[in-house]
Amino acid sequence: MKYARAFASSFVLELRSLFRTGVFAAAIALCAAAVAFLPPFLRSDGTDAGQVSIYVRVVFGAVFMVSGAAAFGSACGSYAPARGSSRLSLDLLRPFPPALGYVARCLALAAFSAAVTLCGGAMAAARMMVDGDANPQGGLPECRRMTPPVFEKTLAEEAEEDYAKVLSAPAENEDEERRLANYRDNPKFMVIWALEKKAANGVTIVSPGATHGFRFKLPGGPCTVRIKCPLLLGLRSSFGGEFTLGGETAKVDRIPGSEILIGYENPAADPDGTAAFTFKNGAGRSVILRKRRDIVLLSPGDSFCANFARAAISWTGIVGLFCAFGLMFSSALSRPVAVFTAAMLLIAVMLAPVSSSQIPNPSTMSWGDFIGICISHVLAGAMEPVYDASPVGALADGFMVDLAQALKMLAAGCIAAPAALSPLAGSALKSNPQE
Amino acid sequence: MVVELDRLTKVFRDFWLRPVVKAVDGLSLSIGKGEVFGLLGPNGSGKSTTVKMLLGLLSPTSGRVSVFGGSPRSVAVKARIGYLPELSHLHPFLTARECVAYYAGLSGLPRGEARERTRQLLEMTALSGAADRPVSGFSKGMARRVGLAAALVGRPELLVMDEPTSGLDPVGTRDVKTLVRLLAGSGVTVLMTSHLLADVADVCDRVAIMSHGALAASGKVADLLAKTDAMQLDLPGAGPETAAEIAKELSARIGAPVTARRPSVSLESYFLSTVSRDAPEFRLAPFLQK
Ligand SMILES: Nc1ncnc2c1ncn2[C@@H]1O[C@H](COP(=O)(O)OP(=O)(O)O)[C@@H](O)[C@H]1O
Ligand SMILES: [Mg+2]
Repeated sequence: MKYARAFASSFVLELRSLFRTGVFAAAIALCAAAVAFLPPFLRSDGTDAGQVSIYVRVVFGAVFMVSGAAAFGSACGSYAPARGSSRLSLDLLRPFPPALGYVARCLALAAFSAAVTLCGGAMAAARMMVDGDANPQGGLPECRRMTPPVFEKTLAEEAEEDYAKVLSAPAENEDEERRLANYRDNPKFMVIWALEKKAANGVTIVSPGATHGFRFKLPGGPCTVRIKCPLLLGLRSSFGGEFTLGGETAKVDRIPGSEILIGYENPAADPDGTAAFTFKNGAGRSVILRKRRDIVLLSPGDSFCANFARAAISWTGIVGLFCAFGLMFSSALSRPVAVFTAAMLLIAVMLAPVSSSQIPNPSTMSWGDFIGICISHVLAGAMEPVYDASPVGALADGFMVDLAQALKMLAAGCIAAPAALSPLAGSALKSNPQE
Repeated sequence: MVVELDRLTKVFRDFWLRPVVKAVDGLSLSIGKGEVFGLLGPNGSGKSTTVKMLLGLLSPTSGRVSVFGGSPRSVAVKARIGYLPELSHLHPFLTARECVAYYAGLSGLPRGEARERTRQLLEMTALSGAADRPVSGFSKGMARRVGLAAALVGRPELLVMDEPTSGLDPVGTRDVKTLVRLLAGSGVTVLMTSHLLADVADVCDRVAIMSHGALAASGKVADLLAKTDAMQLDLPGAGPETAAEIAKELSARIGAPVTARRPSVSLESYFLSTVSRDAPEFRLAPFLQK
């Protein structure tokens, strides 16, 4: 509270610099150019829905990129002109901790990016409403709510169970012996991490003629079940069978491709609000489903505008995260070096979650491996909201961006990240050589 | 004591930490409350470096700095200091008013109070007419006046000015001197540096002269400048004949030659009296008065 006024002053100063040095105008001009000139180059799959989807993906994607790049680029150069000069000295000499000034600037950059996103998005939406080529259906598309099935066990519980099962089972051959050793001789938390990752990708195999069941929480009214099947056994396969939801059964024959959509008029829910969904495999081959990824329930969502607003919230969070890093490096480095360093670091962080679900071999694991696994696990956890957020994809596919997820991303990128990095940025600013 | 520097030394080092230059060498001095202190010395003698260490912008290689009995890096001490740097780097996209208001905000002043102080300071520094123009178009002297307003907006108890008169015209210089006198009168401690002795000598209570980073002399201005082996007489209303007569008599009496010459005003005071005959008198912003 004591620093509220100083905080607001720093925030306003950064915003003023972005508006008055022409960064905002340039970003809006780029968005307008994207809205004006990109659509003629888009080639869709011919369907109306496909046309809308590619328009949203490319044009809104461009708006998001412009707002992100403008904010990130500005973040990386924000302190550079003042570093080592009396302009920074004057800020440092005020009774206001520089770490808080850093946080205020991060927030200003995020607000700036939100403003660009909203203006650019409004232009892109306006074209979609008036231009029949961008959206043959006219108006703005609706979005659909995506609900995953209800699972009895959480990932952690599944992993625990798996762990207990392996440890209690006697090993009967050399392979099992080795696996048991890996489970037993590694720290337990590390095995659990790997098992959780495995469970998230866990598969269910449905043999020909067999039936597999899931449960969905029904929203009431018409809905659609979507099954993606990237793992059909054998290439160019097709699959089909009987799909029952809440008493309504649909028969689908040998759909080619990898995605099935089954519509239901008004499936009946059990008293607890959920309903059983069963899949009877009618194809001649086994079907492999990643049960936590490949099957979802789609139901009517809300308007495109509301969905865009949620996507923008989530994007602002992601941009905030980038800006927090860019701004931190700008407190110690010149703009080009800060851009390079921040981008490299963020790319490394983004790649880190591609850590394996393999359980490491304890006999060959070094301390370096151990620390590496721990770091990549923490980073993967930190970056999870960024991956889950992926706002442009959801917007283009017409899926509802989860508001809770979007707010989580916003909090992570615009509050948690700047707060966590602010001590570093603050001390870098204080130790800056003056003139 | 408001400022105490104890055997302060600063050695600048290069990237490999090899010493490059000893900018300040064992400097000790102290400044009391309400005092106007001048740090004088030629270019490169270490005045700015001393000031920056005093403000906590540079870390001393050795020695101790105490301002208001504490570290200048503490927030509580910073709230009591105002600083006018040697070069004014202002935010070029702000107007003069926004610029001063920004520093008022950083000092934590409530919005209304910040606005009022800003107005008073812009009036005091004769910037009211240019208050809403971007500072990127300001001349050096105007920029320095904005910097001065920014330094004063927090109502500092210690005002540190690095070369406050550089880039100012004689009127501006006179105004700075008047300001310093008025501030000192209301209890503010002032430390200023200059390489021009004449610019500051007549407002400083005490001066220290630095040379190659070390203290060469210090004391009251009058003491430093006084010739101990001669006296001067003023003869108001005397013509050249009378003066020559008296000189002859005196010469006979003390047994040494006595010279008589007509006192002349300096070019500066002549300039001031011609240029600012009808300029308004410099007034301290009301909120700065006690
Ligand atoms: N950041 C710096 N790095 C290296 N040398 C410096 C630095 N700042 C000042 N110096 C040197 O320290 C000496 C004193 O400089 P300074 O304090 O600016 O002098 P003054 O203000 O009295 O003109 C000069 O020789 C100058 O070159
Ligand atoms: Mg200097």
